Amino acid sequence: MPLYVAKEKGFWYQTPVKAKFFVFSMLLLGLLFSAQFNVLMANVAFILLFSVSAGGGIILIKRCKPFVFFALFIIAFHTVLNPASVTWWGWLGWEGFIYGSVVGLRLLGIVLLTQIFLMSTTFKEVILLFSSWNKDLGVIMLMVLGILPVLYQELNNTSQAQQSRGLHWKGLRSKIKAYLVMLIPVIIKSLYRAQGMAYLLYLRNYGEDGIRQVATEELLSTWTKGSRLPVVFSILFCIGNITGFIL
Amino acid sequence: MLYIHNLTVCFQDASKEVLKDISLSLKAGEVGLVLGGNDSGKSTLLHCISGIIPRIKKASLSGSCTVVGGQLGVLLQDSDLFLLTTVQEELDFCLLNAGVTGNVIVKMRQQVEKQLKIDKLEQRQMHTLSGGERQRVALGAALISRPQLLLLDEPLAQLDIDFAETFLNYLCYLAQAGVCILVSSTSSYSFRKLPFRFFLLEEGRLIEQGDRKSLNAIKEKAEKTGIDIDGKDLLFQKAGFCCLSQKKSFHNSVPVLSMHNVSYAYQDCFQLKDVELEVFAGEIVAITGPNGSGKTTLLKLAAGIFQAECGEIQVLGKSIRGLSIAEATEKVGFLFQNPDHQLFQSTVNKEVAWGLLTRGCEPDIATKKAWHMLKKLGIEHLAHEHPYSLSKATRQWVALASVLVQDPLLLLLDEPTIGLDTLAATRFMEWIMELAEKLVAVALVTHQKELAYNFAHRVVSMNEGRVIPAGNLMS
Repeated sequence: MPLYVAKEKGFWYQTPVKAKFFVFSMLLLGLLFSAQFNVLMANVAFILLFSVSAGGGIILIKRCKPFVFFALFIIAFHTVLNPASVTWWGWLGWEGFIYGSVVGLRLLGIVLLTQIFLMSTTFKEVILLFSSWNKDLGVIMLMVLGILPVLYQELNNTSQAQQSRGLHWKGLRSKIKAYLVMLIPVIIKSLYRAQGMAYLLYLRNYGEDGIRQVATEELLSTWTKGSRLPVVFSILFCIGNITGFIL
Repeated sequence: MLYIHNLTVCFQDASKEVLKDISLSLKAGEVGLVLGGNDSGKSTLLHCISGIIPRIKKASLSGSCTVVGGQLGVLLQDSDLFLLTTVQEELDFCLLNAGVTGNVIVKMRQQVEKQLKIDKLEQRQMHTLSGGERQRVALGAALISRPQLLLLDEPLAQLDIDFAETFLNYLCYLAQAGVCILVSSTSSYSFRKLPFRFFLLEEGRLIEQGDRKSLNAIKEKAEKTGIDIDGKDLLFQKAGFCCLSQKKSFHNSVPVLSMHNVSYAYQDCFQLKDVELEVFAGEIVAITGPNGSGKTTLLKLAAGIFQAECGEIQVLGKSIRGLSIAEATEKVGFLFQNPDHQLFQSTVNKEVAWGLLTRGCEPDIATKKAWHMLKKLGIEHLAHEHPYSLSKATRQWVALASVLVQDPLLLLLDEPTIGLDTLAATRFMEWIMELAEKLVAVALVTHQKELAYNFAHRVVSMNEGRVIPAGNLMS
C-alpha cells in the first residue's frame, strides 16, 4: 500500500509541508505530556476526529486496525500480569489495566498521527522539508530520488543483456555469480553517471558561488491562509496538555 | 567573446595529450562548428571552455582559455544525464541557483518550453522520457538562463528530423541576437544552414579552420577523419553498398524469425499490436520509426526477453513461448543499444569468451574462439585491455564481438551505430553485410534513414506499435 494517498483531497492535503510538520510535532508533544487516562482518552478522540476531518477517512482506520489489536493486547497483558496492581478482581488488576490503557492509547495516538502525516505528504515534500534545514541534504535526497528508478532500469537492461548471452539462474552458485555479472556493469555505469552529475551540478551553478536551492519559498512556509487554523489548534493542544501535566 | 591560445590538455592517467596547441577565437554572434571523428578531442575542448576541466575533472593544462563576460549554457554529450525528478524541477534548478525567484521563473521556463516544444512534458518524471525528449530538456536547461555563450556537444544526436530543423532555425535566431555558439559534431552536413566557421580536429590537433565555403576545399581531408560533409547517404554509397541490384528477394526460403499477429501490452497500455514480421536467412531488415513507436520492444519480443500477450513468435521454426531468455537466444545474438549493459570482465578477451563459457564451452576453446573473433574484427591488439578503458565506439566493437562469437543465426541490433562517426559506422555495417552473405538473418533498429536504405534489403516502418508494410526495396 503506498504511503501517500493522493485521492483523498481534504484541506490538510493542500497545507504546506512545513505547516504539516509543525502541527504534527505539536500534537505529538502534547500527546507525550498527557499521562492521565481520561485526558489521553479525550486526546486520542480529538486526534481521531482531526484525522477524519483532514481527509484520511476509512483508509486511515483500516491502516490502524492492527495497532488497535496490539493496544488491546498491551492492555490485557498489564491487566493480568502487572505486579504493581493493588486492587484485584480475580485475575484482573485495576492499576495494571489503567497503566496498560495509557500505554495502549498513547501508541494509538502516535500511530494515528504518523499515518495522517505520511498519507498526506509526498516523499518529495519531506525532502523539501529537509532542504529547508540543510540545503545540501535536500538536493542530495532529491537526486537520489531521481536516480533510483534509473538504477532499476539499468539493472533490468543489464539482466536482459546478460541473459541473452546465456546467463541462467539455476542453482545457488550460478545465482550468486549472476548477481555479480549484473551488478558490476550497473556499478560502473553508476560511477560514470555520478561523474556526469558532478559536471551538471557545476554547470548549473550549484556550489560555493551559487545559491543552493531546490524549492520555492511558498512550499516551505508555516503560516499560510489554509494552515492557520490547524497551527493555532495544535499550539493550544500542546499548551493545554503541558499545563495539565505540570498542575 | 571566446579566446583560446595554445591550449594543451593531458589527463593525469594518460601519456598522450588529448588536445595539443589549440588556438581559436569566436566573437559574439558567431557560430563555431568543431568537427572531428570519435576520440578527436571535441568533448574535451568543450569541457575546457566550460571549466569542467580542470575544476571537476583533473587534468594538466597549458596555454589559455578565456571566456569574456556573459552567462554560459552547456549541453553535455551524454544527454541521458539529469539531476532531479521532474522536467519542471530540472529546468527550475538552474534559475533557482542563479537567484531568480517568483513569477520570473515561471515566465522564463514557459518561454524555453515553447521554443523546444516540451510544454506538455512539464510534469513528467525525467526517467520516463524517451532519449529525444530528454535531449530537448537538456537543451532547455542549457538555454533557460539566456546564456551569452552556448556550448553544444552533439546537439542533434537524438532529435528527430523535423524538430532538428526547428532547432537549427532557433540557433540562427540566437546567433543574430548576438549569442556566441560553439557546436561539436561529426557532421557538417546537418548544420549546412548555419553561417558557421569550422574547426577540424584530428587526434587532438586543430588541423584546419575556415568559413563554411572553404570546407569544400578540404573535403577529402575531412572525410578521412570520419566527418560527414555531403550527407551520410553519399558516403555510405561510396563505401560499397551502391548495389541495389544485389537486393534480392528472400521470400522463397524458410524464415529464421517469424512473428504472426503478435501483440504486447505494458502496464495495460498496448505497445505493439498485430505485428507481422518475417526475416529470412541472409536478409538484413531495418526497422525504423519515431521514438516510442515500439521498435526496441519488437526486438526484445523476438529474443524472448518479453513474452507476447498473444500471437506466435518462431525462431528457426521453433516457438519461443515459455522458454527462458537464455534458451530462446541459443542461436540469437542481441546487441543492446548501450554496450555498457554487458561488459563486466577484466579483459576484452575474457569478456568475449564469457558468452561461450555460459553456454557450456570448454575454457581453452572459448578463449581461442574469442581471440579469433577479435582478430576477425581487427581489434586483437585490445585483447588484454580493460573494456572500460576503451572509448565508447571501441566498446561497441567489443560488445559486437561478444555477440558474434556465439555464431548466431539471427542477429538483433538495437541502434548499433549511435555514437559512431561515419567511418566507424560504415565499417560496422560492412561487417553486418558480410555476415548476411554467410546467411545470418539480421534485424536492425535505427532512426538513421540513410543507414536503413543503404544497407538493408528491406525497410520496415513502425508507428504507434504497428508495422506499416513497406515492401521490398527492389520495388
